[in-house]
Formats: sequence, structure tokens, C-alpha cells
Amino acid sequence: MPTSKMIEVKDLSKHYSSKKRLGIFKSEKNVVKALKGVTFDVDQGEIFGLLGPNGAGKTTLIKILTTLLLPTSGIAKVNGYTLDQDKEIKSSIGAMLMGERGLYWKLTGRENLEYFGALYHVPKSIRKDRIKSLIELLELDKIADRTVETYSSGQKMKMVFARSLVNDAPILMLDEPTNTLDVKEARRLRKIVKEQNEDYNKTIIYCTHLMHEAEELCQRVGIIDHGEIIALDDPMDLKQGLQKNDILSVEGTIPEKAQTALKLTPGVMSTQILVKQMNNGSTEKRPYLNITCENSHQNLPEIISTLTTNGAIIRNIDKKETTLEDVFVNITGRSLMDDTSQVIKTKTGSD
Amino acid sequence: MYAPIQKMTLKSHWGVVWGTFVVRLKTFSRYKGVLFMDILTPVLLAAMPILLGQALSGSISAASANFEQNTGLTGANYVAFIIIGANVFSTVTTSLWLFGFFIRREQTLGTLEALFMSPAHQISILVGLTLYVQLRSVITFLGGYLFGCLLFSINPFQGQVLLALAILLFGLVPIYGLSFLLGALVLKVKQANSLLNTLQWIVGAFMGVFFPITVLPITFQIVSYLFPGFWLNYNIQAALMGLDWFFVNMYGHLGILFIFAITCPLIGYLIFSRTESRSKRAEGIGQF
Repeated sequence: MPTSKMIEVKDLSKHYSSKKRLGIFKSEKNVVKALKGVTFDVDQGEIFGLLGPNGAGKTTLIKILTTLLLPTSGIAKVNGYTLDQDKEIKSSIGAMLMGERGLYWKLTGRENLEYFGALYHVPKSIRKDRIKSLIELLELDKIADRTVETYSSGQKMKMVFARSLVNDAPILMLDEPTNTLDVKEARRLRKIVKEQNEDYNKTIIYCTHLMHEAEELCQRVGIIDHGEIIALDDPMDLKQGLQKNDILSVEGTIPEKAQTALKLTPGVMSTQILVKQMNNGSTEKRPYLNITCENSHQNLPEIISTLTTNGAIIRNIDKKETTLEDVFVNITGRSLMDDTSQVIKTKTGSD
Repeated sequence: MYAPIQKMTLKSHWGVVWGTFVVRLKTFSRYKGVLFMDILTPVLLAAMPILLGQALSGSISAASANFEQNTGLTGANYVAFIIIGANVFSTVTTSLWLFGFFIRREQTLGTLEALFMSPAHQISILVGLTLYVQLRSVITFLGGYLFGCLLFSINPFQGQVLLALAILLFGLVPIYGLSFLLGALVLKVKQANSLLNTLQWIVGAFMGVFFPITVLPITFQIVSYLFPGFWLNYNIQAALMGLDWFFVNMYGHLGILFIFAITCPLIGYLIFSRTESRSKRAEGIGQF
């Protein structure tokens, strides 16, 4: 039965365990706590963002909600159905969660959509027109009748996205849907996601590690790290929570002792060395010092003085607009671009 | 507004069956030369023991006489025996690994999770897959049998060909059931190729592909009787070569296949479902 809460998740945990053989009779049991008591809900017609670094537990959560995985504990409801009502849940969802994978390479894009339409029990009379309009919507006309093996990564990604729309379900679950898309295509895909929400009142869970995507699309964002939701609110409210403080970005050569001295400087609340991707098209990443402080206007001379007297060479200082990345950094002390180590707890024993 | 959730009707289930059948057929047709290789492989498999028999006995007729005398299969042409055996063996192994290879291929392609995310019933997908394999089996069996007979100058129409085909289609059903077990094994251990390769030749030995199982020790013969592949092979050989229906009569033999056709898919599917459930509780079905 449809409800106004399209997704309800309460105290959801998922532990993966594996055994490592140490000898004939000895083994070590590794327990990975991928999700630790996650609780949230998503209203009908809402775009809910799950923002977190790689390995934070986003995909595990989506896999549970799509019934591909069973949780270790906790409760989840999708469209009012509990996880054991898997047929009803599957009929309520259009999902994209393996990137560009999940297509039959020897079939054309159109044939893939036809087949998945049949798997979702879309009547033949509706299927053909819907596929035609999806192909037009995603500008796939030129490649739709070519076998998928001839597609680029981006084209496959778009076709997988089309696949997630083929059953026109009330809920869309999208896991990093813009991976491998170029800037223009990613923007276009986000526009379509927004249209699916605004024009068709679809409820959308949008997983990403790209803060600007979450800021652009989502009405609420859950920031997930190490399997826990560490912040959950409207993106604006999350940012406003930080805006009483200023964030400075300092580029240059910053020795360890300068950073340590800075932590003792009045007005400085926290410092982190982060890395940013250069915008010159290369894969080069440059470290910078992120400083959260009170009243930067007043404290800036003292900050500069502390840095330079401790051997720092400053190339540039910017006062940053607060972003969701800053919210994440402020809570975790790490960047969203960092990978999260999967193994959270290792329990050893023998059997 | 989004579309209403589609109701699952008999027609829509048939849509999944037909869709799966067509997808498999299209995929198969886009791998050039596979059908030719399917037909050629059992003939090559049969050629080796046939030529070895000829080399050891001096001629095919002398080898046939020795074969009759040593196996007690009166009137059995050893060339036909081996050609039929190799073709049935090829069909049985394809069907036996069908589901295991299907799981593996879909895992690596990334489509297994996409299939499991859809509301389509697994049985509908499996029926579609099975229909495709049945069609492919009939074509390759007929092709391989006719080509083998032509190559070794045997009259292919000496027995009851239509009965043999009916036995083939019916006798593959329990093999699909066993295929679920191997599917469960692949879901559990992921990389099971070496095990499957070894198992293939054990299956061949117990089916009586190149020799009747009467040459095996009695304990091995009992194992053969418990394997539906043996009954499938023997019944086809009996239909095409006029061998004795040693268990009462033809209906007795078909009755045994019928029991296997009921029990094997049930047991196989039950075990597969349990393994699938365990996988969902563990790391998931798409990991490979």
C-alpha cells in the first residue's frame, strides 16, 4: 500500500564476515560493519541524497533497499512494504547501482530495454512507446540499435540510467549515476533526475560522493561515513550550521610545526590538510590547509603570522563559501574524496 | 505522475519467459560459428575412440564384433554407440552446467543483480533459459548425430529417431534440476571451473558414453543407475539402435526418467533457493 513515507529505515545494520585461513585448524574471522544502526526516512516526492566517501556504506544501503542484500538487523520499508515482500518492493523501484555494468553486451541498447521492460512486466503495448521516449529523452537515438559492446563508458552509463526508468516506478534509487559521464552529460542527467522528481512526483534516493550534485538536487541529505549517518538535514541548514565560522583555504608549503602552532592560535577551531583536484584537466592533486576559525577578518593577521614564523611559505589564501564538503570535513576531519577503509572492526578467533 | 505498478499476470510471466528465450537466442546468433562448433565437438569426441578401436582391431567391422562380444550388447554397432553417446554427453554436459555457467556469466557481466532486482519470477527466467537450451540441444544433437553418421557411413535412420528426440527433451529435465545444484555451488564458491571440468569426465564415465556401464565394477554401476544422465543416454541408444529395454520395457525406462524429472528439479531448486538466501544474508549474489 502506498504511504506518504516512501522509505523508512530504522536501526539498520549490515555486517559482512569472512574467514582467513591461518593454518589447518586456525582461522581468523574478519567482521566488516558496513552499516551501523542507520535510521532515516524519505517522503513521497522527495529527492534524498546519500552523501559519503567511497566505502562509507551507501551501496550496501541501496542493495538492502532493493532486496539484493538482507540486513543483519533493523527494519526497512519501501513503498510501505517490508523487506520480505520483495516482489512488491522490486515492482516499486527503478534502480541503477552497478555503474555502467548490468547490460547485455551482445544485445543492442533497445533490445536491452525491451528485455528489462518484460522483466518488469511492462505490457508490450506500453513498452515500445516508453522505450522510444526514453531513447529520445537521453539522446540515445544514434546508438540505440548498436550492440552495447560498441558503446563508450558514458553511453553505457546513460543506457543503464534509461533501464532504471523503463518501468516508470514511483521510486528511483541511483548510485553514483554520473560516474564516467563528462561534465555536459552529467549535467543533463541531473536535469532529467530533477524532472523525474518534479514532473512525475517520483521519490529519489541519490547516492553520490560529489557534494555539488547533492547540493544541486537534494531536498535533504544524509551524510554517511563508516556505516553511520553522521548528519541529516536540508543542505542549506547543514551549511548554515557551519556558517557562524569561516573557512580559509591556504595553499603553499605548510610544515607540520606550523600546522601544530596554528591549532593553538586564538580563534582557530580546527585545521586539516586536504587535497584538491586541479581544474586543468590533469589528474594532478594539490594539498591545501583547511582552517575553520571564528571571525577570519579579525584573526587573519595572527594566522598568517603564526604560519610564516613557523616556516610556512604561503602562495594563496581564500575565504571559502561553505559547502557540504566542509560539513563533512568538519564532522569527520577527512575529505569526501578519501576512501573509507572497509574493515572497521577485526575480531580474531580460532575454530 | 509515475505509472501504476504493473500487475503480474500469466501473460506478463509468459512475456518474461519469451523475452528470456529471445534474448538468449539473439545472443547466441551473434557469436559466429558457435553452432558449427557445437555440432563438430561431439563428432571429434567420438572420432578418437572409434579410430582407436579400428587401430586396435584392424577394421571397424572387427572392432564392432569385439565390442559386441565383450559387452554383451547384441547387434550393437560400436560406431553408432559412440556417436550417440558423444552427442548425448555433449548435450548433457551443456545442460548440466547451464545454470552454473549462467550464474557465473551474469555475475561477471553485472546483469545478475539487475535480474534479481526485477520482479520477474526466477522460474519464468529459468523456463525461458531452458526453452532456449532445449532448442539448441535438439539442433546440435541432430546436427552432430547426422554429421557423425555421415562421416562414419552409418544409417542415421535405422532406429526410432522421433522417439529418441522425445526422450532427449524429456530426459534433459532432471539434468536441469541437477544444474540448479551446480548453480548453487557457483553462487557459493564463485570460481568452480576446475571442479566442473573434473566433474564433466566423471559424468561421462557414469553415463556410459564410450562403453556400456556393464564393464564397470558393480558399485560404479549402482552410481550410474542413480544418475539420470545414464538413463537418458541408454534410452536414446535403445531407441536408435534397438538395444534391450532391460528394466521391464520402454515404459519402465521412461518411468525412471519421469521420477528423476520430478525429484531433481525440486531438490535442485530448493537447495539453490537456500543458497541464494544465504548469499543475500552474507555478501550478496552479485559478488564474483
